[in-house]
Amino acid sequence: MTKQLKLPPIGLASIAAATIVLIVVGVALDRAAVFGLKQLLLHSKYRYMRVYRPAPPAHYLVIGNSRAGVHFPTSSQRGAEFFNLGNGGMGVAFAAALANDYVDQHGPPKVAIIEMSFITDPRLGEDAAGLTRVFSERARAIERDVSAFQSIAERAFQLLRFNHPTLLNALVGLVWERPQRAVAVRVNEATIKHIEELTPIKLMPTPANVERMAKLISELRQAGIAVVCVLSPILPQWREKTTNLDDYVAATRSLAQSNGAIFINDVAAISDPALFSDAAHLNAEGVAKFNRIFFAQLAARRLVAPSGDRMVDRFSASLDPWTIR
Amino acid sequence: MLFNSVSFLIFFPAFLSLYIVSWGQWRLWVTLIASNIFYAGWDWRFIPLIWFSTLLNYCCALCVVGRPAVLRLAIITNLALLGVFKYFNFFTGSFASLIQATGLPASPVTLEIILPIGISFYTFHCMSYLIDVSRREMKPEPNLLYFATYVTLFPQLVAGPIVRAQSLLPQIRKGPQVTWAGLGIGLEMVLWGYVLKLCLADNAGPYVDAVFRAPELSTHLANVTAVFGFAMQIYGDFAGYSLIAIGIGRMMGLDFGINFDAPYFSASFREFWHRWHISLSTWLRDYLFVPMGGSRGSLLQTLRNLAVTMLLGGLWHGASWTFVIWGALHGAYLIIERLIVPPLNAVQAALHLPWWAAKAMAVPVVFFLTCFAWIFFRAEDLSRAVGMIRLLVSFKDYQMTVGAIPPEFALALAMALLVLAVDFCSRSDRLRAWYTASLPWRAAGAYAMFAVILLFGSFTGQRFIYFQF
Repeated sequence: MTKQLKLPPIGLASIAAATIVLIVVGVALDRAAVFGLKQLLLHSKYRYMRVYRPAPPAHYLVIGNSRAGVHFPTSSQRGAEFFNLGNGGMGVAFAAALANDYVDQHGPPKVAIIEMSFITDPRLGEDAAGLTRVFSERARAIERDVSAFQSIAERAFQLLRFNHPTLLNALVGLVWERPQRAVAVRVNEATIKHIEELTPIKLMPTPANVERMAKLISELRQAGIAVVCVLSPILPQWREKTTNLDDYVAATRSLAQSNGAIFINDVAAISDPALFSDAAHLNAEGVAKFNRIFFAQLAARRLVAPSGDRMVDRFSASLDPWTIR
Repeated sequence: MLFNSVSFLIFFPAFLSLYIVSWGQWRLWVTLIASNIFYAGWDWRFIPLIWFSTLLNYCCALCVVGRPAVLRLAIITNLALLGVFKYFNFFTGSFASLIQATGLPASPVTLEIILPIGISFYTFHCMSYLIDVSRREMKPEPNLLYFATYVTLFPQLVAGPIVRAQSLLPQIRKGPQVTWAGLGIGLEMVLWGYVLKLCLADNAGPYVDAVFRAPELSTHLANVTAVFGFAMQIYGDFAGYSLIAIGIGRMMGLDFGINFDAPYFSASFREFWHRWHISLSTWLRDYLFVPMGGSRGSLLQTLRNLAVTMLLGGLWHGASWTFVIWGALHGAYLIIERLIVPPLNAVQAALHLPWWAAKAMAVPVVFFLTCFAWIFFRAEDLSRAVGMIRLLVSFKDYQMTVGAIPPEFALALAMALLVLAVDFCSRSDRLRAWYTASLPWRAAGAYAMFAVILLFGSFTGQRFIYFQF
């Protein structure tokens, strides 16, 4: 190294000069890398990137956490007809930001299906969709718990803004669209035993989430979207452990209906534990069965075929009585 | 003070600036004071203990030559310190369990002692120094400043590498020189160390921890991935720490040697221990295996020496039966290897199997068996380790989709592939020489490492695994 370059003798001044050169070059390279990476990611087939790049609008927009992601079809399964925003760790705050961004970018979908379970989860959705802060004003506006040091570091080296566990998914999406799939495995006996030994559970929607959800449903309704709020199946043993299930369902129904949405309670639509992969998720077999039930429920309301506005107009005209128990 | 903490990011540049502007003995005073500040950053109560150890070994070394009694006394005192602070509860607990097994009532006497960080490492530093002096392999160090700087030197204080006094004291005595080349190489090592720690180990950690905490609640495949994940996590964690320490040393003008050398490409367990935690394995070889007779006696004696060395090596890692079994397993691997290698070589020769084909077959076998032993190393207790192995051999619930693996762990797996690819390339002397000679490529490589840390690093401040030892 020293043979190729004539370097000054080591001293505080020369070290300080070298440090400044390193920082300047580092920051310049950082800005170039940020620009390139942002453009690159917009070409990714990773689903949240689809929100921010041109694509045909979906007929159904699915919103929720992993239960929404697993229990409902995705674009890879049903083509452009579906766009599923559901993902593990998704919170109402990020889901609302992404759903509104989607509507802004692509126009309103015909139907929004909201799997309501995540109203009990106090998380904002950083784990699932934090990467979208790079692209979205709404996502950036969501409060964030960062230290002063991290904040300064992010200003100096903006590549840090891409530091998110899902970055790899987005990069993989440049070459391959990873489908969201239900697992084929059945819930094992140890897990069921573990659940049975748990202390009773209470499901409590957080006030902040109730407020965010009410706002989201209203915004979607105002955009002319038919909103279907649903509670998808839960493992029977988990249901039995939940002491306030009826109250929770009633509160969720009230939240949905008071803001102009349909409510479907499918919590007990499937009772065979063999159709679950864990307490909160159906396995592939269970999803197939649940989809038949759920889309029959939608078909009864003429909300299934992606044939056009006429159906949605009809739906909107007689919205309120359509609550399925 | 963790290497991956904000306080260290402030501490180290401040220290390096002072270190560069100081000279001669002042430079060593700066190092000594900084090392004590670094160590007190964990818990100031550890400071008297390390100074007791330093002064004890300094004084004993001055009069140990030709006096075996002094050596014995010093070694016993060192081991007693280690015994009280690290192993007391383990031995009393195990003894009480043994008594209870016979049907007699017994309750273990335990002490509420905090394990002083790095005690295993600095005790080994001191013991090797004393033994080397008593063997007349080096002269005792009369200057307390030099000796105290050696024992407390902050980069290698809490988790090694175990740099021998024979290697480091002459460098300290001579006066370490900061050079541009040293700063450059040191910076590259530190960056790669951070890639290993922040991008590989810390992304793998949460998933591995969750599965190992309750293996029976995860699928078969989740357990398999967690075992391989831990193999990569501990490599990233410890090799990362070692590289950061060695890199800091290089920046200070000190050479600590190497501690890891692509260990997962080993084709035998003998080779594995020449590549994994090299400073510990050579320490155990020189101060335990060889004094017991090494491989100079009969085959049976050699095998016994191997077993004892690896058992004690396991126990060095921690006061738990899981570590003892881990050491015993590696001892068994080495013993079996000694027994089956000659016939296997004969088979290879008879079949005219090329060396690379034999190696390609041996590397995965060594890797899988190493991973099997890691189950005991990582498991929180024996029952969980056994439960996990039962689950692994049951092949129940085999199916699991990629979607069930959290993104952090998927990232860790991608990083593991990158690290293994770099390790594989680093074994080529030609490639290594080309890279070392090419300044533009090295600069690009350094920036790439920095960018990878920014993009994929986990900045959750997870501790280094080896700090507990």
